[in-house]
Amino acid sequence: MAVNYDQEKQDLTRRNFLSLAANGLIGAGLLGAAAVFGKFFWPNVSYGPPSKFSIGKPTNFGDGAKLNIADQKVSIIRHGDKIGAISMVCQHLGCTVAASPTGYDCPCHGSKYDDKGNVTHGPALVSLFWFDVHPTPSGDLEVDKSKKFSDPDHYYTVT
Amino acid sequence: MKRIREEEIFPRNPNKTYGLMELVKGSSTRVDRGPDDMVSSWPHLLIREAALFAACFAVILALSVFKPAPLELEANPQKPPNPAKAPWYFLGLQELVAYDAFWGGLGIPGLVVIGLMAIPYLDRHHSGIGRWFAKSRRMACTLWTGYVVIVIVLIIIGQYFRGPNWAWYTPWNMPPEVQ
Amino acid sequence: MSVKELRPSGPPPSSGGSGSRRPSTDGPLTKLSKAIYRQAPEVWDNLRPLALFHNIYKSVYRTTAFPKTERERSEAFFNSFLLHIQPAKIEKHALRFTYTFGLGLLSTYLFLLLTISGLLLMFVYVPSVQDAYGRMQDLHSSVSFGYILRGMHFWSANAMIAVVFFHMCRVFYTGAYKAPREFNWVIGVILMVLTLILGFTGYLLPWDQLAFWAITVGAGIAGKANWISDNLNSLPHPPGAPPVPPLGDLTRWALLGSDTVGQEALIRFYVLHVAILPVIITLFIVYHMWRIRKDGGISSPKESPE
Repeated sequence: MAVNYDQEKQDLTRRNFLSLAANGLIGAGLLGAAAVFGKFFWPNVSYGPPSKFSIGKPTNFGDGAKLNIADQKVSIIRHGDKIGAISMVCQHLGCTVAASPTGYDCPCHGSKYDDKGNVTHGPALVSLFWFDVHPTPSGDLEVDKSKKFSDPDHYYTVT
Repeated sequence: MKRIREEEIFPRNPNKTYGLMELVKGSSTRVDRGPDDMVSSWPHLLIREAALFAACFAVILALSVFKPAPLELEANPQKPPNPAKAPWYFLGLQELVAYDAFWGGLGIPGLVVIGLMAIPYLDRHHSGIGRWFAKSRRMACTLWTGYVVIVIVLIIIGQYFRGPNWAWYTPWNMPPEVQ
Repeated sequence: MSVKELRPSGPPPSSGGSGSRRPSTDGPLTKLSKAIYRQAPEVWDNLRPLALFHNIYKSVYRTTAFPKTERERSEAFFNSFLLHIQPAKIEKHALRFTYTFGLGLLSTYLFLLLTISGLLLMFVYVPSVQDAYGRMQDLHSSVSFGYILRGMHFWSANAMIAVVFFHMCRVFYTGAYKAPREFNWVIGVILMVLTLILGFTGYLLPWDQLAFWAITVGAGIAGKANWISDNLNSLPHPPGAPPVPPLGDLTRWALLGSDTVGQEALIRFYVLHVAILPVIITLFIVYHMWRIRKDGGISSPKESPE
């Protein structure tokens, strides 16, 4: 009886199944090892500037103030007795926005935001982050960049 | 011509169906093959390769001597330049990104790369190989030209038609602070 | 130059026949040289400059420097390490400049120039946020030939990206991606992507304004992969199933090693640019070239009807 070797090569014989399974196991093992080692590339410690920083006494800011803290990329605004901290990192692709008469403009791709960080012109889709502002025991105000809010109006009210 | 003397230089073996018939002068033996258009790589290929390297090196050297590489101001994380333009080969991408960040930056480029890789598995018609713009491949050539034109137009827009805040400017109205 | 054995000839350099056995007054060096001559008289002949050069050349190259016959010309390619990746004989059609415009070879040459100039630039460059920009200025002011080296790296990189793209256009317009060359086209697309990534990682290194903001935007684009995980999470899923992690943030975090572009990003891009990516692209280039040979050389009109 003639054996059709080509057919045998394509069929899932026991031998083919075993060799497939062995190759699959080796491949899965290598991929798994690589994935576990991939953790190496995710840093556990950040060397950037600290996420909390002091901005001094509330009296530093007059009504209607809009002050840039350039090295933290945060803009401090005061409306009446409410003080807020708006992130100056564009929500589009991370350029630093510049303060403008109408709010904030991004030079990289033309996004525009109003004074409260709401998008007025694309391509950005999301408004600028607001950061948590709270007083410290010394009476200074502190901005915590690890607590951020996607919706505007997260003020600290001066009492 | 009259054969004067028959001399068997290569005696025939009666047990074999083949034998050595004659010796001819020539550069290589070709049996049952028409003349092919082969030439030896030495020196025909080699000399062209060497000339190409010389030309390539000369052009690059001349460019680097007479047009040094640009260096902008030192990086300042507080103040992006306005407009912040990528190198020319990423300006098409930047133009797309200015419309939609995900689709411009990842979606469309990813699909383009997958599409490019798929070309030989979609177009399997075995014709027009080895000729520029073969007539039988007019459709494929037109589609590809369309792709090339889109790439080049996007780069030209990014390079010459985008000014401060990535707004549309014509090259002759470009504010002077933008080169 | 034809290769032939040089037979030992001529008298030995030192006189003093070996026949007479009178007590020697020679110094130890003379004794030694006489002993060598007695045991192996051809040594002196082998040291003659012409013979020495000849034998060293033959041991290195095996083939003559100027082949004349067809056989010698073929051997010149078979026996040479650098040339053996190419065929000893080639179709006339493949040599026509207007068929390939030499674009594939040109991108290889540019990669070679980039490797050499890049290695030399590594002697000057320091991948540190404080020093990198200063070293760039040094290249233009205080390093001999520094600006030429940087210029060569810059222009070769720009030219390579353009040439790779033109090469792809040539291959498309001549239908050279068709069977049996399909997979080599795929390798070519990968090579183009790798070339672009090398360009991307390279231009952070000068630490100038272009570098910083281009990488900021590039990392922002990587962060947009969040779109995928956000959409996956918004699909109906079984209660209690863990959410898909934000893919974009993870990629950005791995790329920059931090939240923003800084020292961590610089050292990561440096290692990628000077070590990891060049090795990967070299492997792909070698495979690309091997496949050209295995797929039957470059495409030819003989392979298909019009």
